[in-house]
Amino acid sequence: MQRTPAQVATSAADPQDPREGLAAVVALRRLLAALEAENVERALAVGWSWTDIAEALGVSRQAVHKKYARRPGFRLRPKGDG
Amino acid sequence: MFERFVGEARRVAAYAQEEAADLASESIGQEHLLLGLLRARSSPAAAALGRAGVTIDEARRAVDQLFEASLESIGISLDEVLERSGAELPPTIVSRARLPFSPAAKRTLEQALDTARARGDRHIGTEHVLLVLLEDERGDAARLLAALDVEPAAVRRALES
Repeated sequence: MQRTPAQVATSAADPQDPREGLAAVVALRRLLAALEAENVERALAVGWSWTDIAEALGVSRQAVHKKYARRPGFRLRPKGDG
Repeated sequence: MFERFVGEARRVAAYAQEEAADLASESIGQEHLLLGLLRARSSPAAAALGRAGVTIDEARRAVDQLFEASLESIGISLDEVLERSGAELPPTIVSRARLPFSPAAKRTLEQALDTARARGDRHIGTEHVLLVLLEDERGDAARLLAALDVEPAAVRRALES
């Protein structure tokens, strides 16, 4: 009987097990990164500068530019391309 | 350290980096190494995983489901967040930053070298990386295999056969 990953995760979800809580933190970080990327892209699309974006994120312009600037190695993926 | 890796093993790190970036991860973990091994299609590791019933598509899906279940465990519905925010996974904009290996993934690659040596192999192949991932019962690759309902021992047998 094949169990789904969700069932495995649920059966492993012991509130006393620190690994479960820490795994949730890691998942949240990934979600945060995806949300940040989406919103940076949206801001760029409507003409915001890196300075504007950095200010809104509360970080330095260098930090946000280093992470997302359009240079070789940076990929902007067409929607729906898995 | 990758100069000792031969054949498709050389590409595993690059594949793992891509998988981690697509998942918006902050580092390359053991689960990404496992995905990287699966993507090295003609490698001994991918063949053994295939014989044990693991495919790249199912493995990726399992990673997604574990992610969703982790968020669910603290009361967050991924569907709802994606719907309301318009965000997508994989993200449409990917950070160009080179991701570091997680400590566990780094240890895995180092131990692959030891495993190769212990077996008298002069080069490190995908099979050595896979063997180390299978050994680490508490690691994220083991968690992924468990989610796929695949026994590490079954993969080990497939590798030796």
